[in-house]
Amino acid sequence: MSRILGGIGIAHAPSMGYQFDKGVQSGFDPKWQQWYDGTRPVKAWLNELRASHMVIIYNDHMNYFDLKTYPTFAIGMAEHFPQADEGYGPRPFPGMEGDPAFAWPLARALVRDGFDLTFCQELELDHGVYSWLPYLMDPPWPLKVLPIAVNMLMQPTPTPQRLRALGESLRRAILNDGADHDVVVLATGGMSHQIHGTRFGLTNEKWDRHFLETIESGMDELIAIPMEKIMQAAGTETAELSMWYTMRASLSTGARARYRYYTLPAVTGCGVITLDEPRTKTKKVKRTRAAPARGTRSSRRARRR
Amino acid sequence: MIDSTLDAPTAFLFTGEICSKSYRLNKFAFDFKHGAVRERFANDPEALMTDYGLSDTEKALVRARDWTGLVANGGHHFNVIKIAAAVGESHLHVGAHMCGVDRDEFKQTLPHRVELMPHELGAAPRARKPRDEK
Repeated sequence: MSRILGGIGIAHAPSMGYQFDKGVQSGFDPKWQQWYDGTRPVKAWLNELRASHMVIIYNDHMNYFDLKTYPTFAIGMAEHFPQADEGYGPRPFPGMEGDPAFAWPLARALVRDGFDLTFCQELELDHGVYSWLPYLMDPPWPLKVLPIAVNMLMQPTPTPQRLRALGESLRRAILNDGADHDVVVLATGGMSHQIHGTRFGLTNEKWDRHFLETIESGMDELIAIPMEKIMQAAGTETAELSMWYTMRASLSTGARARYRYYTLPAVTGCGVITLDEPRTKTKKVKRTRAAPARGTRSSRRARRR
Repeated sequence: MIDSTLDAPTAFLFTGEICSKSYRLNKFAFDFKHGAVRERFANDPEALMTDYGLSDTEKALVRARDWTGLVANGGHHFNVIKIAAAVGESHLHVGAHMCGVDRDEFKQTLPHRVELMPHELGAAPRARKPRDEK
């Protein structure tokens, strides 16, 4: 049976990706340097976890899915997921590897649990994934991914309650998949932002920090707030935060925040949280001791640099 | 004070009904992700718009580079910015257009920070409040 090692909630924004490319080439803008520095511990943590698979809950932004057929929940079953060209040409990163053998048992379990997913044999990942990706990992990407794309663009969107239920189902599916994988669940959605209308550029740091603080132990309290009120207070596109509930609900209630960081470099609140499963640590320590992992680990790290 | 309603023009929520009504406009805009479509637009915008079945109103809005009008007429903002990008205007230009201000001026004012918490909002969220000066 596979294991869930931990979870990550992280913001995304096109500027986050653009500023990364610019930053590594000619130095970071001071505001984005903060986000880069703030994500270093997440990268180190992820590197230490050595997960084999990452489930990614995200949304596309009219870069792959068009309105012709718009799935509420779409799951990527492919062996390879290219980066979507958003119209400015692809950024200098390889696509991500998928794993159908990992994906199908989970997909079957989710459908059995009432989530009627759209299965994608092809799926291109846009800035919903590629904007934060190079902050957390170096290519070649060290793990295989299972992307789940959620409709966040067209009302009606799935409710926060439904997204929590998806996380609960995902947890059952992973823990009973009959396989032996080490899984991290990552959810991504911009924190406060609204990028249309006369409230274009609206942000709400106070709300974002409250959310980041509360999601560890008070998810139900956040879910009880009507989504419309969150959109009013923190911007319409802040609804994307409800995807973070899937990540939180896929972990045990005892999972604890290991790290939180927040900054506001442009027009989207940029926050990140990592959550550790309580049993993960002891298990990891044992496994590390049992295997001659020390050298392997540092050599892996060196390779990634 | 920032307007906390979600009514136009503070926000343009993209509903299924709007999607049905403005499907052709959105299909047109979405397809700007393809270089061939951008090229056709550069060479013969009128023929391209006719091929996609745009209405006269929609065509006029595209000709006028009226990003706000396109969104107000059912274009999803993620699609509309693709047309803007094809004519050399950034997302920031689109935002400035939405707010009726110059792009460079607009940039200086970003982000617009608010500290309102959801629980501080009244019981009737959809009620239209008088709008403050921008």
